[in-house]
Amino acid sequence: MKLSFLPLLFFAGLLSAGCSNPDSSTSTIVDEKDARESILVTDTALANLSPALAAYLQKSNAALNLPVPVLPLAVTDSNQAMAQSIALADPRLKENLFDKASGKPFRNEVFNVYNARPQEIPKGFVESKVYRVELYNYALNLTSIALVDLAGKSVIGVNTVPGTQPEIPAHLKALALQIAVRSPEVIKALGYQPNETEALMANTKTALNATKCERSLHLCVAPTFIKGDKALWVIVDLTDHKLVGIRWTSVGTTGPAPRISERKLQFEKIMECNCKTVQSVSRNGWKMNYVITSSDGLRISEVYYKEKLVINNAKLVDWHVSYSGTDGFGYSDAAGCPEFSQAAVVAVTEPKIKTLEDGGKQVGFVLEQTFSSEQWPRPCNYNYIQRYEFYNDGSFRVACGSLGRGCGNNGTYRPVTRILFANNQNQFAEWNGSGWTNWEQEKWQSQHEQTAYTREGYQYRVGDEQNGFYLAPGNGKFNDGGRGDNAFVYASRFHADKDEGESDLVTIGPCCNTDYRQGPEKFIEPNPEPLRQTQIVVWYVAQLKNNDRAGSEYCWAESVLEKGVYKTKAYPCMSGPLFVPVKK
Amino acid sequence: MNKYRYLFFTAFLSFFIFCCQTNDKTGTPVSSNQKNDTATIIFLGRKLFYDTRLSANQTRSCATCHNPRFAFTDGYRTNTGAYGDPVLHNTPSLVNVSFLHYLDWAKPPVTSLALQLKRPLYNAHPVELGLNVYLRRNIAQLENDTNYFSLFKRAFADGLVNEVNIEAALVAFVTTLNSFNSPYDRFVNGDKKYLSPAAIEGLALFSSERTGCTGCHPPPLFTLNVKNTIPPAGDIFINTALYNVLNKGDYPKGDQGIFESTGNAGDKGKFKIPSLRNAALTAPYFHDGSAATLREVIDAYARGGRNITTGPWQGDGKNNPYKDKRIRGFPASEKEKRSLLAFLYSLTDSSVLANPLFTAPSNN
Repeated sequence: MKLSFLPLLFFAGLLSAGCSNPDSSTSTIVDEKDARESILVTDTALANLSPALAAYLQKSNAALNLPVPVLPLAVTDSNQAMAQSIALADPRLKENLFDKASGKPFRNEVFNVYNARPQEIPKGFVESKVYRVELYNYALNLTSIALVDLAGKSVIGVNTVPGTQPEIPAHLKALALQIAVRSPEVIKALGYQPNETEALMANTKTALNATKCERSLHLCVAPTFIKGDKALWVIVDLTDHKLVGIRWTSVGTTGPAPRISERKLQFEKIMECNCKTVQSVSRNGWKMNYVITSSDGLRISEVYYKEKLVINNAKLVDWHVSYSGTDGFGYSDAAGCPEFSQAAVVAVTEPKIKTLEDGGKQVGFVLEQTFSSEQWPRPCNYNYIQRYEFYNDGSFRVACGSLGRGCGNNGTYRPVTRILFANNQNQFAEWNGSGWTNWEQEKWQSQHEQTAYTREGYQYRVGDEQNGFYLAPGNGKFNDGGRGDNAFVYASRFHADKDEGESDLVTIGPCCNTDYRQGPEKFIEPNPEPLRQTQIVVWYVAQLKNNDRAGSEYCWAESVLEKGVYKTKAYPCMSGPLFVPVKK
Repeated sequence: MNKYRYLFFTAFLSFFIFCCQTNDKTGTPVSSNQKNDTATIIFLGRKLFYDTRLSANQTRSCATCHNPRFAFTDGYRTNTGAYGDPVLHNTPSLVNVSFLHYLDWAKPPVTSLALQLKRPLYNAHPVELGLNVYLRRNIAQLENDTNYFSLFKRAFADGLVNEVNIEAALVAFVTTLNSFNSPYDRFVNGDKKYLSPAAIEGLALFSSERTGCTGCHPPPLFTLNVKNTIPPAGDIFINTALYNVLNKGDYPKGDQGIFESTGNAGDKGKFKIPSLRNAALTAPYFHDGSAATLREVIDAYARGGRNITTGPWQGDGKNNPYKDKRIRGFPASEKEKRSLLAFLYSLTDSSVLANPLFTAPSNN
């Protein structure tokens, strides 16, 4: 009985901490790593803050004692329930449920269960009967994805990717919000207790250096509150159920967002026509399929030029947005279908196909898709654009850009693009200043001020002197306002029997590393494979620093009053490589 | 450059760096019974440098803006303070700062580290760290930390945990952040393989009459702003033709260099000449971080001034009436500019990035 007083005392302590004399000696430190005094929201304390949270924690703890120690997702749909049940019975999914050394259970939870996307479903299976079950292992920080066939009551395949995290389900978003708004640090920082509805980006993954959220080793999110021209980031660790830090960023000033009243009406059409259905285009010698994915943007596949398969597929895996090189916090953002994804910045229009012209002459076409947060261009809202450009001479460009606004004016955007080239006898080479040097193994390299390019601006070659493509990174010369990509380029070996990014990827890497560790390196390290005469995946991660300085705006947007009404001014930052055929 | 003068200077620096340290490899003082123990003060300063408890809301430390990974800068145009308020100027590097005379971008009177660090610690507009906002609480936190308590006791004769000793410790640590181990330094010391042909060409160009770079950035510190010469402010705070707002000689309002304190029109746009050491690591550049790359910097100087064609600060810096006469522009081919870049890259001492004497100490 004595113990029951402790949570109450603790709760009282939390309240009084929010109202105390600011010069008191009460500590409000939240960084765990240095073992300072911290306000831990213990399981018991949580229970007293919210019955819903108490129930969740009870279930989570109880699940550890189950024969299959997985906290299932609460679903009402019988198909989802069946898919979950089938998945959890599969031995492949059970491989990582227990610590092999001690036999103790890890904490596992089913995050999502939904109809698989058309492009994920192997031939021969009925689309409506195939489901995707996403499981997260908190202890090992890995995601397992099972594709389940309800018709055959079997699991088609299981893909486990370490260092990745699925989309945050609604109940965990709610948990994060409850932790955030009840935290004395947040109340003190804002000067009031915020409402949960004020929080933005509450289910977008983040990181924070010098805590267990560093490099996304724990599952962490950052509900963000706007106050004037600043944003208060509240970093919540969902593995440990606690606040681990708060940080302020400057977001600049802007007016209110213009209304986008038709937005929700379009969603149904986009879902039916572009998310659940794979579309095709055939134009100017090019032929391809395209679909909007859950969280990997607009994906193109089976891309042919003059009847020859050029690339198997290409997509935009993640948007990493970092707001602090030192503290390492920001967002691992994703772009995808409305209704499929809770966290993705969603498609607000259907893909558009437009003619590309140069000097009045038609030179190709572009397949373009935009994704936007609801309140863009307000702070902490995002607008992304993808452009696949196809030229009559066989060149193509995989480009993407941000139109801001973002959650700070010191942000760096790092879009992660994946391109699977068709030829299975390929090689990868870099220009060394005087010739081409093959990469014998999987590798990465950065682009910087001293990088060597050919006279035409090529840095790499996929293929050889007879066949293949040169890669010209963005250097501010594509007439799209780009100021240079400063890109990391990775080349990895494709495996037909191993999913290394082929299916819809959950967030591939942490938001805020400032080095090459953006996610693709997990398919290269620690033992790089040979890269000769093989099918090659090229990963491209540009680094785009935003800028809100008047006259130099980049990756930025604002709402300005013009002639009595608010108009959006956007300053896109475009990036992405151009691939030019070795022989045209 | 006189090789022997350079060698003497380097030897002097080495003596200065190493004379008072009695540390193990991680920089932890191994033992000392002395009061005002220099080694312990330095170690204490290093610990404090990385400690967010020096800030009002416990979220920022000195290292937030002076990160060793960026040669003790932060990679931003300008950073923000503890409460998200923007700071006016680009964070200067602390590497070799103890050898510099003027320490503020636009305030000539700030010529000591002790004076300079008061601003990030105590400024209210904006609050940067804001140590003084909850001073008693912050001091109490350190006092209650047994590790800090014993360090202060060992380090200082009075053994007190107070702001005076905090400042002294920070100054002592920052004074040790010295780097002279770049490929250029090794080249000058006789190992010719350390500079590429392009960098050697760049060095020659950098030192030439044509470019005049050494007129403001002479070796070994690659700035005229050297402590032991006590240069006049007029030589160090100069207008480098970055702006010429509406072609009236102005810089952006509120940030016109020493004009903000003197009010003399001729002082418009005058900012401190920085050191070019480790420039490859300290992007972006200039007092306001308005140049993203070294190439932009080279292009601006080659042109004789930067031309801004859009936005509220339009104007051609080349025609700024207050620009320093040394900013005269110079012809340079693409290859020559790349050589200059190669030379600037050779000033990078990468040992600064992970020197165990500079990075955050473990908890001991």
